[in-house]
Amino acid sequence: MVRMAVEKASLLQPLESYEQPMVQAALVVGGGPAGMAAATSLARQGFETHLVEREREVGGHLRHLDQIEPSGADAKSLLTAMLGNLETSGAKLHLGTEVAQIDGHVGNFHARLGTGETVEAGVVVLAMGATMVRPPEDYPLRSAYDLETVTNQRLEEMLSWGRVPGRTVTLVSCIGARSDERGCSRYCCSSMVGQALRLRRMGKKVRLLYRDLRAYARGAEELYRTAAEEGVAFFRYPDVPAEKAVRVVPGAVRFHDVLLDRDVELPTDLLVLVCGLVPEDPAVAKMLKVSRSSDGFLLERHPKLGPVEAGSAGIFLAGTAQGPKDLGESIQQGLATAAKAAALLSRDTIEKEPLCAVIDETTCNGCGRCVRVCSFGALEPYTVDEGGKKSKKVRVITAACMGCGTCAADCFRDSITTPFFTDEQIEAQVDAALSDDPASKVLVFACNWCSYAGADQAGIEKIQYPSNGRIIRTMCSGRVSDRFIKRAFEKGAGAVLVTGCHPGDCHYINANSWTGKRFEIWRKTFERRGIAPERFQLEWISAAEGKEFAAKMKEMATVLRDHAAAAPPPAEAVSAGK
Amino acid sequence: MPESESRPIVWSDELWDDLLRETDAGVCYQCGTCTATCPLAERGALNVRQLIRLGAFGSGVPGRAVDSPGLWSCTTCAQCNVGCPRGVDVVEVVRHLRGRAWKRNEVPAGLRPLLWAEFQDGNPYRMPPSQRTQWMRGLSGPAAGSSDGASTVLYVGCTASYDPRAQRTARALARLLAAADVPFRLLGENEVCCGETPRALGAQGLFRDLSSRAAESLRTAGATRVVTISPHCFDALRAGLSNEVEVVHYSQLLDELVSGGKLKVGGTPAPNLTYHDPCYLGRQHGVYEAPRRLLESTGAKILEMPRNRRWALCCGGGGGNMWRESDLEGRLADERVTEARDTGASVLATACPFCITCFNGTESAGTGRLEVVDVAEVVARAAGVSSA
Repeated sequence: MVRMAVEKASLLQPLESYEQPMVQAALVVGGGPAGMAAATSLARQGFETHLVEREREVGGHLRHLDQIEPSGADAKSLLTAMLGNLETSGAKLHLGTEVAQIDGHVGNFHARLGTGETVEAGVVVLAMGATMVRPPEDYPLRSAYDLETVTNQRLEEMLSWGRVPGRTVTLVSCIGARSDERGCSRYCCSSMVGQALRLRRMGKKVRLLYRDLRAYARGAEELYRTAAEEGVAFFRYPDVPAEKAVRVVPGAVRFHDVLLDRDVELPTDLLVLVCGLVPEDPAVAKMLKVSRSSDGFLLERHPKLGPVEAGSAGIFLAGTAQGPKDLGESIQQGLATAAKAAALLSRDTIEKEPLCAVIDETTCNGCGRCVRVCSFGALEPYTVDEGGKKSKKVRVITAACMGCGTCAADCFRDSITTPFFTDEQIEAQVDAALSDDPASKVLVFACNWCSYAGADQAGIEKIQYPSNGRIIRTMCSGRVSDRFIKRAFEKGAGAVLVTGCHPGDCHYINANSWTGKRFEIWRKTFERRGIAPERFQLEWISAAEGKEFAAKMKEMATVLRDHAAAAPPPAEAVSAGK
Repeated sequence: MPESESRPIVWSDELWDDLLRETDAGVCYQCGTCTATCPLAERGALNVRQLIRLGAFGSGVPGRAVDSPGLWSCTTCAQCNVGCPRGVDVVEVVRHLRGRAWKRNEVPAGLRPLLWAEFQDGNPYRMPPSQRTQWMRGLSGPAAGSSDGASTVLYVGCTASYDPRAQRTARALARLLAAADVPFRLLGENEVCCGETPRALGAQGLFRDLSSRAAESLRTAGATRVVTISPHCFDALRAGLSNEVEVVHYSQLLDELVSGGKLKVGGTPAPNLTYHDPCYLGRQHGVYEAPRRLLESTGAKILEMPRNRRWALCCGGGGGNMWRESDLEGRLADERVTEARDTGASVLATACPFCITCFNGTESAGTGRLEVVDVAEVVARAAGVSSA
């Protein structure tokens, strides 16, 4: 292992960090509470801040609220206060327009608005919010079946006027939420319990149908208790989407009460559909190549390590655009993006780790394979005119490159170099690892973020596992090229294990999906060359999975034992397949 | 599935409001901790959580209340209240639901005559008021409650008045009070039932009627303090008399007298004994230590049962079950007596006439190795006072 490090070190070159100019201005897209909080904070810190809002007024959903639960605070006064802060902050408001076009990268984004104005910004905060789900056809929003049906948003309006029709009111939670890929909408439990209590205090007979009740915000559990004490009746419907569980019949709703295990009918004058949040499909996020999670909301870089950042540098996510949340959480996230953005904006230039890919344009033939695998849009094809002869090339946008190395592994002409993880350096490590009794060694490729940390975790947890593993770290499993695998087996490696973050957890958006795709091809190729599939494996290991890493290494040791017991294929067989 | 099962239950807001007015069942979030700790649930006789849920629905379907799982089996032991994370008084809910059943005349056979007895005779035993003083056989002077002008009333209660076994406890207690120079009076023929049985059975109207009669006779006697023998009287008088009179259980009073040196105990130490917490003394009113201190003052060593204090197993006699044949498989009292015997004690002491009746009624109690006694009797022996 020392030899591996020494061999790599002997090939190290001094690297120079890049500096990029930083446009010290911020673009905040979306003027709901999250966007307002972010823009106010950034502008107050003295940065030129542009807030773009599609509607003619800022405020988002907050404009339609009467009372904020669970605290019961007055929504109008909060909006007035936030608006006052925003207006005096110096942020420039672009109302009634949208971002029509945006491109660029950290330090240098260019946006064109629907009005034709252009905005230059070093950072972008995406706070476009989410939409209330449209109630399904099963619940016609009108007076039908001898009862009236409204959404919780409409009820909020009625509550603000102090006039709600009907004597008996039934609220049904989770409309459009918690089905298929969509999760909990988070804001609604506290909100509907608060609405139910206000209705009860108006003298109504109030019933609340829930699937699960998640009163998690501070004071929400107390609000729930107060509502129960004051006579709101709570019913649990079966664990299926509300539209399947709760039926409207003339003058009543019917459902199966889970806690009584009987069908129940609630005579009802007013049915309130408590609607979940669904993601918008914002063009601006697409233009910036911001990933979306399986539920359709914008995906943060990492749930813990980068909760308010997008996968690409300089782009931040705030409010319900990133996932359903309540007002308090939206404002918190807005402020958090402002803090993160300000850390970048406070400098004239941004320094980047010198891991950025370098393309040798003398050998690059512009085939574009690398462009396809880059998750950050950091590779740009262009054409050069060499004495009348036009040829295609690809260049690296250094500001956008995150240094994962996925491009280098895909280059047929070896034109791409990833500093500190060059082909030569990695091959020197492979050679050193296998210089002595290679058949007894398991060569492991581990990514910097998950699986290398997972191996570390095994050590931290003092888990015993065989000592014949030899780990080579790369920034991302996407850096692992088939030439390293080939070299390892040529040198007689007992086994090769490629590891990386779990699909969906990749620190380079989805670079490891290429690892998965490539591995399927390599496995077949090497099997044809006489490498038994168990000697060449892929395993996703997270930073927390020390146990899993150790278990895999034990399994690989067994593979080696079995392999040694059987007659090993001669090394020439592998070479012959070249 | 019967037809009533397939038709949906129609929710009644009126019954719901009714439940909210009389109980705190509204905050129940149906976690089921009550059922998990209920000794009857363990025997499949009662699902407390379901009962509360049913209560929320107001028993909208005819015939519901009487066949509610375990509504009448509940001994109101309040074990459910101990674990409830929402602090619901489940016993209150049971009483309320039973009350609803009365309104619809959906009650098990045999309970109606019991209430008539309470109404007409002022006791559940159908005994004439004239015989209320029979327990006093052999008592005279201060022990017979002859202290004129005394403001303390010894409230004997129906069981100790009429039940021969409980009469012994009453006599022991009367003699102890005399020995400690505590002047007290008796209500004699004018004593009426505290109404605990109607109350536990959900007959709220009759309970209120009886407790106002009890209050009246206490007022006439000029009582400022009432000492009860049965924890059930203790509970019902506390609920029915508001704050006009101080209600104490005899174990609290004796504990005060012994620790204040007014009542001398000593003599032969009692043998090893175990103590059973009556539900209406312990869980319902938090009196756990006074009876224990009394027993220990006699020099006895208490061998605790595994389930003691808040977790004491009910004898099975509460909630009207003294007057119903239990439909349980395996009586609670049998299990409790076995538990008591397993401590190695030769005496099972308790402080409730119902508990004593239930324990003496068990098959295993008859084997003679375990004597079931009242705490007052243990103290009387140690104080050199006749406990017969």
